[in-house]
Amino acid sequence: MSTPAGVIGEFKDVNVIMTAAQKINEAGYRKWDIHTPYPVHGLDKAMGIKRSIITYISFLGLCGGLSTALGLQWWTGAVDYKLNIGGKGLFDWQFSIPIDFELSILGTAIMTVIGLFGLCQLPTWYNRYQNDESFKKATDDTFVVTIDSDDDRFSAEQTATFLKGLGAQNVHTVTA
Amino acid sequence: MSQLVNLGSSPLIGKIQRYGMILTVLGAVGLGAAYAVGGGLQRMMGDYLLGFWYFAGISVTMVFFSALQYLTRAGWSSSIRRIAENFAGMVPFMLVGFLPVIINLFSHSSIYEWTHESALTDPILIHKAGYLNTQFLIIRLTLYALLWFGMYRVIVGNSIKQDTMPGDHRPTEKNWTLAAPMVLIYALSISFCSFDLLMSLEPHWFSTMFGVYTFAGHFVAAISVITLMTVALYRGGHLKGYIRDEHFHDLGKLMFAFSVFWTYIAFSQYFIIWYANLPEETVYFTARTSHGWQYMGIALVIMHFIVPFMVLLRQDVKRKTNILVAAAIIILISHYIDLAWIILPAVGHVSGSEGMMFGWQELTGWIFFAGLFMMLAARAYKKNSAMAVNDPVLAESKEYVV
Amino acid sequence: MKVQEQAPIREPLVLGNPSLHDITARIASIVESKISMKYLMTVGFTGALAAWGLFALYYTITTGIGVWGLNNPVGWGWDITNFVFWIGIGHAGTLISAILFLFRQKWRTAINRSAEAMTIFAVICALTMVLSHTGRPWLFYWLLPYPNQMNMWVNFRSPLAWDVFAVNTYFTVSALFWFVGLIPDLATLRNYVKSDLAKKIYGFLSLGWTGSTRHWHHYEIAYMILAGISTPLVLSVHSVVSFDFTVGIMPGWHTTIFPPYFVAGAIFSGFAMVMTLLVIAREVLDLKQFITLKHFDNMNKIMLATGMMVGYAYGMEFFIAWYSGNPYESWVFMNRLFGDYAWAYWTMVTCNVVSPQIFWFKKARRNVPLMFVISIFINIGMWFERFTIIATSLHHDFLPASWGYYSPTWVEISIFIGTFGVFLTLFLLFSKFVPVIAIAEVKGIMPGAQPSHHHDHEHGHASHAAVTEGAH
Repeated sequence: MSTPAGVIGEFKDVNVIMTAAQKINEAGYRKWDIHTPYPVHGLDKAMGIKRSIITYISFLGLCGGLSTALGLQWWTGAVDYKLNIGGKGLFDWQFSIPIDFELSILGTAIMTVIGLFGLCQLPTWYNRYQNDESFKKATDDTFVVTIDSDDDRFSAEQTATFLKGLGAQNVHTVTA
Repeated sequence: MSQLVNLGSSPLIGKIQRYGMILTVLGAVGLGAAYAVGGGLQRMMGDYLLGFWYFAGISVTMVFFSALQYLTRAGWSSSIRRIAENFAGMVPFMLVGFLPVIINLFSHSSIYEWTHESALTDPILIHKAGYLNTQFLIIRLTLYALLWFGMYRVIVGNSIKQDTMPGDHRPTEKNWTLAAPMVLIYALSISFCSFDLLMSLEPHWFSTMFGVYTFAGHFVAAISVITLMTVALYRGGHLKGYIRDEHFHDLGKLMFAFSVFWTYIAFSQYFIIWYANLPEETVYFTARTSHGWQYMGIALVIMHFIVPFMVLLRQDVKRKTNILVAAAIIILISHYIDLAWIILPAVGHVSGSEGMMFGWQELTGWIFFAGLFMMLAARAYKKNSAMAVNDPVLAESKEYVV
Repeated sequence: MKVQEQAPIREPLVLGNPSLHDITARIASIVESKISMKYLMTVGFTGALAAWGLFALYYTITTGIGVWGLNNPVGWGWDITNFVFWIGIGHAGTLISAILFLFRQKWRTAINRSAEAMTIFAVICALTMVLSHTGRPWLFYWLLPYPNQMNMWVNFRSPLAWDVFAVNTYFTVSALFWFVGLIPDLATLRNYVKSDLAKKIYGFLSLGWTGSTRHWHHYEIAYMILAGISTPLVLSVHSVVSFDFTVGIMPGWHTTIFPPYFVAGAIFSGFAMVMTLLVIAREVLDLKQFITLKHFDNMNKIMLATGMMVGYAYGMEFFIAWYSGNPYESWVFMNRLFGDYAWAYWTMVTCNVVSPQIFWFKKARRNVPLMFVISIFINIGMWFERFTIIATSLHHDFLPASWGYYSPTWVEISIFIGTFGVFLTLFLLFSKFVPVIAIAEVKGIMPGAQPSHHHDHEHGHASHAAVTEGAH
């Protein structure tokens, strides 16, 4: 009961949170986060988050979808079950385009969502702060900073003072 | 900001004017040479048509681009809209540009097969004579020229009028109201003009998609020209603060989207005809996929689609001006190939040449009109402000974020 | 999706300048409020329509499609008409989400959620139509390529096989896109609602979303990629549907303009349907703050524009039918004008081309009852467009001896009414239990929601934006 899970602080002003994000990052904290009701532009950059790799995952999906489509149409039509239909070739690039396209899109979409879920570890139906009232406001109208207790620089009092100094309201320690 | 931005004396505009002049002279000499030693009247006319329609199409589309910005009340583009308008300088002179085509109709061996004597005994052409006849074509071409001049007067005219009327937004409001009918006029006139000038080169052939197809080509080419000029102005240090990364991003996005759109239209047209395999329609593509013309077709797929697609797909490159310039140039080259692929096989057929007809002659018309296009743009920059300085939504262009 | 300086000449997108909490409370209150008698009765009514349609469907499946009015020359009737109609309706959702985003139209945030929901429900209806059309829908898996004891593969040269891929891809991607968009809003509801059961359900569906910036970072890119790929997808789906007609050689069907013409028509009809539903939803759920006259004005303009595009295509088809010199082609088009189905053709022209012309006037674009009526006209007109295309080309084919006339039986009519029942019921359930407005997106475009540009993070801001926009 007494072990702290982390420190939580609320911000209301979007410009203040931008500065705070940068300061916390500069102070060397690594296991921390800002929870916001909507994506704030540039906040991830200010927090020092590196560019997401999700585009590469999507691209993999595109390649997978496209090669499946080409392989499927070529192999079934020109190898496994040769049949002259309407005088068209057994496999022509022309008639393969619609399905090539659709499966590329399908592959991209599925891999994008899988990538998103993987990178964000969704679904995770538990969060150490989930019962905290401040934390719940993050989906409503408040920018909520959380600094986890397993961060190397974490110290319940100092971190709380630090957050207050950045302009955070209602700073308090959350116990696990 | 309500001070006019006159770049008439800037080195950039000077350069455009100088090169324009050189190209015009070079092109005129070239066209003459094409006529005299390069293959005769028909070939020269084909090359003329290619050059003329390339830049005429782009110029009219520039007016359309501007009208579209008014129609959608676009804020982002208000600082670069004038770039499009300044490139529309050819529009008032369309009738002059049509003249050689019109005169050519009366030649016994014009590039249009339907004017030939053989058309009198061709049942299909007899059927079409109600539309494809010299008098009616002249009337139509005149009508297009007048309509386009009207569009130019309204859209570009009001846009320029706004420059000297700070605080009074009536010219802009007029354009907001009139943009819709102007877009409508553009859609109809550009389609029918492409039927008249291009599709009727193959008088038996027809495609309902053809108007949309040529529009798609003109539009992406116009965006590419705007991109080139925006980059040039930016590098020349002009319109500081008004040309931003965001504009490059958006222009890149439009180039990307519309080169894909062109591909979609081009593929659909080809695909439907390929699959149904009706001789009356496939004639167009068989002529263009044999005798060496197929290389142009392949070049189109690569340069009008694959290269721009690959180059512009990535997010971050749309802010690198070098890459945008490269993409724009590739698109402009492929737009040339596109029109050449439509026009030249038909002209080659009429002039009785076996095999692929492509040489230095084919560049002359393009060079001539490229020169005129640049000179008229330079003239516009000397006369008008380089930016729509009193546009009511100009501030958004300075501030918007993608 | 982003806010910036607005020129003073612009109208606000959200009226009354609510706080972020007001937005949450306003949208969530729809979910929280007690189910009214009116709502129950409406759902009861639409549910009854759905049940009636399902009964007709049951009758069809157990008896065979002989119970429909299809006959020898006319092998496609209301079934395919309805299929194309519903697929078309779906397109507006994707258009609002994706294409309007590409053209940076911020006003779309208020309506994209309901439009996307509509897409999914419309595609469900379309799938019902096309599956029942197969005659033996329990063998639907024959449409998919899988190794089987007959040693046969799907014929990939057939446009109908492309359709299977296109429609299924469309359904899957739309559903994924919609759900991804919903996750943050479901989390908002999870933290807002009072009842335990609702908390559990929204908690489960929101997958434990916390609004973490580390997650938003991936989320925004993923969302933009999905929006980016939806744009070409929506073009391709209706183009593939049009290939069902065009790649053959049937006069009236085989014409190159069909792909973009179908897409424009789909957007047109889809917007009309969004309009019909939004006018109602805005009244019933009291969303006037979010769905303003400005939104309607813009939508009416798009309807006018797309209406002109289909008008262009109608005209172009006629011109080329004559210009081609092909007697069959010209005959089919004359038959549309004056033949047995002239009534359907003229209904189509009146509804699709003539009626939206009133939207040239600003007063008309902001007159809610009027736009409601016109939107219904357009729905009717676009249905007749598909019917005209299908019926006129088929009923008089190349052999005059087999010419005939097609009219539907009560079964087909009931199934069609039933699809409306299904569609409306799903939409009503959606508007009650799911946030009808994209809460996070609307919050993101509120004035002051984003850091100001004069802030010292401007640099980071600009380069961040480069990353977040996805495929376009």
